[in-house]
Amino acid sequence: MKDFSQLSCRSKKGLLFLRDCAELASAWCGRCGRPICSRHQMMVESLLACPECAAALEKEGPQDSEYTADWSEVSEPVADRPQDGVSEVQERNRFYVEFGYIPFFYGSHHYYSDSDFQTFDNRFIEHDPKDGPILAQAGQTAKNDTGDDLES
Amino acid sequence: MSGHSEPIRQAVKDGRIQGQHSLNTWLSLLGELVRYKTERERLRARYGKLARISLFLLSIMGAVSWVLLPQPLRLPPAIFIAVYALDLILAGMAILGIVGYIWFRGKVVINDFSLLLIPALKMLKDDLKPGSRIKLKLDLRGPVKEKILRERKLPPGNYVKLTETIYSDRWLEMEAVLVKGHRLIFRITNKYLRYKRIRRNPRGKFKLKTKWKKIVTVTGSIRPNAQRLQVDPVKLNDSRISGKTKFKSKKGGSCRLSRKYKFKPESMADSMTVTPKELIGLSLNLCSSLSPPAPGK
Repeated sequence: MKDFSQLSCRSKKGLLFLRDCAELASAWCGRCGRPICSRHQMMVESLLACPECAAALEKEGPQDSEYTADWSEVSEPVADRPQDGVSEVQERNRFYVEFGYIPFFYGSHHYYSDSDFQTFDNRFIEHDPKDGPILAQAGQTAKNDTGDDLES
Repeated sequence: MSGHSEPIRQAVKDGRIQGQHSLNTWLSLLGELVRYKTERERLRARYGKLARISLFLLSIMGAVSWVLLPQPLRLPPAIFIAVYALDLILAGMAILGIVGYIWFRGKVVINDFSLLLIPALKMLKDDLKPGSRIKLKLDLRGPVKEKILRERKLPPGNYVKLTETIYSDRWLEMEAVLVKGHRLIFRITNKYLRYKRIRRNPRGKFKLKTKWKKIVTVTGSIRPNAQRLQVDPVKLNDSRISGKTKFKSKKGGSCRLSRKYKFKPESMADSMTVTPKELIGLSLNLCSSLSPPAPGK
């Protein structure tokens, strides 16, 4: 079992200004690999995912997604957890598209979605000194919300 | 009705509520206000119904009594006693209904706060600075005499008389501190136009008809934390922001956008107002006009 005691949840919250949830993480997203807290753990097609990935998966429709989550990492049952985080993300994305808004992102810049590419502009990033060590510790490759590796 | 807090009872009586509280306190206060108002309106409607039914039955019984009155000797006295007792009971019920109808009259008239403010606050909950307080000033009395801006007679045309009354009702003033110290300010003003038309029908009777128009002006301002963000004039001129909006960039580095919405409610009971989506959209437009300060400044 991996130690989550040093990791904070990287799921995004907010509407005008996005930032990390920052609650204590208890699992990894099975799709993008970001650490997520119990509140942001969603089950989509037997995959444990963060709300952003769950929303993206729902948008894409049913498919044979690669299952990467390790159930032993989950500290509490998630079966009956409400999926309201997904609808929040979907609603947020609808707002961004309709009003042409590119959100400001305060927090970790290792994960991004289609709507927060400002994270690549150094002026918009508030660097968290913990980011490097966290990724190294997790042994993950940074991915975007569509599951593509950033390095590729 | 007894489980409600004093500020809520006062708000319903005065039609106004203001203060500086946390989001959770406001949501619980406003939620309680909605419940209290709904409960009061339900009781008022029930008493009104009681009064109407009692008056209707009383008029029938009154007619029966009036028929019976000149012939006291032909019917047994028990029937007289029963009829007049029923009249008395119905009259009592009608009085109770009328008193209850007046008693439960609240001054909170408009529903805009429950349709617009509560959902918008819930949507913005994660953007507010943790532990910060929201300054709110709500006037929920709707178009009352004190808010009359202008009243005048218009050329009647085909009508006997045509009067126009304009009410200006600034019902919401809100100031919230967002994450990183940015400030979001909203002001919403409802302008009501009431047209009273009196016309004469072919039978010679005078008929009064009232028409309402409602113009909602939403003004939002954002005062960014100058160290992190500032108003970008180039972004402000973007057609997506300025398309529907009259905008104004102020001296102190804040940005203000104003937008108007028109409604034609059938009556004042119609709850027509701006949707929370429009308010959030305006907030997004305000934030779209911001950009980080240039490096080295």
